[in-house]
Amino acid sequence: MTTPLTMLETTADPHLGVRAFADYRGDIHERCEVLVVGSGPGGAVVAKELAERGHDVILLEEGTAMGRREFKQEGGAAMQRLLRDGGSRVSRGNIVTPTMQAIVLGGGSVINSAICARPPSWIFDKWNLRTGTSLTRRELDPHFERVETFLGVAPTPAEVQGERNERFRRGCEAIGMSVEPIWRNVQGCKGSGECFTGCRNGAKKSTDVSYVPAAIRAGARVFTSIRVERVLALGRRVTGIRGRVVEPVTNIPHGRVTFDADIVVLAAGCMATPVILQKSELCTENRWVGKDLRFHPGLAMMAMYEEPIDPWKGATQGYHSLQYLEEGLKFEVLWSPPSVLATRLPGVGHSYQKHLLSYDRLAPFDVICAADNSSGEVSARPGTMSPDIRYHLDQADVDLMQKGLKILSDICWGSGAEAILPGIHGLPEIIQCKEDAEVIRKHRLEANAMLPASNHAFCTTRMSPNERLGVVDESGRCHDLDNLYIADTGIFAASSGVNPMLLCMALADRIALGLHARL
Amino acid sequence: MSPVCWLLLGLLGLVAIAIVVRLRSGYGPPQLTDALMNHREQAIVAAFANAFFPPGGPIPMSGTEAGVTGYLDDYLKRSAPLQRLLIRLLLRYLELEPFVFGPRASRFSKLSHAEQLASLESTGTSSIYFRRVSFISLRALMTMAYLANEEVARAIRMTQSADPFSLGDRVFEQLPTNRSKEHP
Ligand SMILES: Cc1cc2nc3c(=O)[nH]c(=O)nc-3n(C[C@H](O)[C@H](O)[C@H](O)COP(=O)(O)OP(=O)(O)OC[C@H]3O[C@@H](n4cnc5c(N)ncnc54)[C@H](O)[C@@H]3O)c2cc1C
Ligand code: SF4
Repeated sequence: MTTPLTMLETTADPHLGVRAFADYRGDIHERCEVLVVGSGPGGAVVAKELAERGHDVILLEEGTAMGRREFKQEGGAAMQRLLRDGGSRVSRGNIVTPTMQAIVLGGGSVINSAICARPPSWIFDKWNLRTGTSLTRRELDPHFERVETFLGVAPTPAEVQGERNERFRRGCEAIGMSVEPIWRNVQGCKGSGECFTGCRNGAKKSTDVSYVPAAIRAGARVFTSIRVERVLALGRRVTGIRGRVVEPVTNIPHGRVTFDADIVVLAAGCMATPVILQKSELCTENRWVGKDLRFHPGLAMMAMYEEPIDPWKGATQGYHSLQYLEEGLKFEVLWSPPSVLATRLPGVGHSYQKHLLSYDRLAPFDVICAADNSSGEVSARPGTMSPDIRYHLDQADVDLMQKGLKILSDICWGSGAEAILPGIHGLPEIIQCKEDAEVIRKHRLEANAMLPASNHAFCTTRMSPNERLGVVDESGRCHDLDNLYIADTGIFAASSGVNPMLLCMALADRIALGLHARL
Repeated sequence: MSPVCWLLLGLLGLVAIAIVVRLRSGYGPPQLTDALMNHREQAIVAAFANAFFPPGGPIPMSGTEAGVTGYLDDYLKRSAPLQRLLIRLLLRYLELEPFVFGPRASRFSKLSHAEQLASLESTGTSSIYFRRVSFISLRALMTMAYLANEEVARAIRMTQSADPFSLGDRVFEQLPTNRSKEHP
């Protein structure tokens, strides 16, 4: 077995060897042993681990490689370059909820806050109850450890927390809530708070600068700007994929591509993988493809302070509280591009401008909810590869989020806020004292009073040992096909409770090692 | 949806088209050359920009002075066709919304500034979910465009540095201290 390299051993240009749009002339036809679709946290891990074990691996990615000098801090430009539908993707149902998926080499790991959290063991008991999985935290721990070691996952150091994060810590401590520095896959973080638009410091170890270069060093071939449209199959065996070369940013299709493979691993993300399966007319007998979509809806509340706290200084998300995790609530500090956050400020005209001036006195804190009672589905839209996403937020989860909002408000007051902005329809736009904040608890909230963000998404090809309860078995293999695997968050059997990336990577590591043992 | 609903929707659509056709004229000349947005769309965006960010306010620069119209045009040029269509529909819808929801039967861009504010307030706080979502979408676009202007960013002391801690307090020495002292 190859000894895992640490991140410190990576090459200077992390994207060296990545094939790009400009390299292609006409149609492409290649073959390999293992074909991995998607270079996000799921796919990149599988590609590296199998390549390092001597397998002939090809990794396909629809997005392009984005160098650190290409990252734009301006919110609109960044979202248009890095996110699907320019960041305007939403689900429909009883609420409209924005849900962001990246289109870039490295997938969501390029734009996320690098939070790495291991789910507690009871999460896997819940999975067992839902779909009969026998996975345990103890069984996954070696995989968590391998991923964490490779990425250098560590707690956010105090020097880069900054006042925004420290206020959250103080707020939690003031009300007797547990609070801890967030563990992240970063090295040399300078606390620029720019994780969402791409790390200009190269500190964030997103998969494009960690697992993908390691896969290339081990011999994997990586093709960007390739959109997989169909998985090809003969009976119970897949034979490869068909797709198109797509122009960067515009996504205009160019040449046709065919990749033949002995094994195909889909890791295109929980929105895209079911669409590929549906378009390919595979697993048609399985009722769970694209079904049971789960989100962690998240709500942000702004704390406003009397004095400037320079909120742009400090790690994007530096502290969290896991105290209410078992009830389905997780509390975090939040940050995103200023123009995105500013949208949350109240008023129009001069009053809106006045609130914009208070921007350096604001800190956003958020609560994410496990939302175990709510679900949705993803289906292929005719004529395109983009998903039609439906989601219903159940009132029981709305009630839980309301409880979360009340706790958030207590954290804000505990942190020394002089006012809070709840951002909920039907509540005052600004609440100026703790007593008045009681309205958050008393007011009966309904789903459409809120506009939660849903950036943690999973379960659309869920895992179960029983083919009537899931799409893949516990090795990640599709029940209906002998050599098709899935390794993205779609395979979660239920919520991960905590942020999903690390679990996705640990599962992908386990799938890769299992595959290697079988090949 | 029942056939009656479809019929009603169709009729509403026809009425909307008739209104749009009648109101085609009356927009000023285009502000941008080489633009994707036609002169009507440019006028609509300018009206929204100056309603959200009027001149002479706590941030002296108005929406149009900050280049919101040009930003949005570039944004649309870079958008995928479906997003472009949706944004254009959003703008047209909100331009015509006062015909249904007031404050008086007119295009948004023809309302007085006070009426425009009333119209936006009513959309943003409406009990109709769709109206609130359309307001938030518009505000997001406008805010993104306004804050992309460097002078506006400086006015609100919005700093983005790849290495903020190495700057210490120097960042603030370089910035004007025009932060509002008023509390909300
Ligand atoms: C703003 C934001 C912040 C987040 N913060 C955190 C965090 O701090 N911690 C955490 O744990 N989680 C976080 N998440 C969630 C986390 O990023 C995702 O759960 C994770 O990226 C999912 O990994 P994945 O491999 O399943 O899919 P993805 O990361 O979505 O990767 C899928 C890849 O497949 C590619 N692809 C899709 N379709 C095709 C196709 N047809 N052909 C070829 N390629 C294709 C995509 O372009 C993409 O690169 C965040 C998410 C967002 C949006
Ligand atoms: S906070 Fe800044 S420096 Fe740190 S990982 Fe995120 S983007 Fe990079």
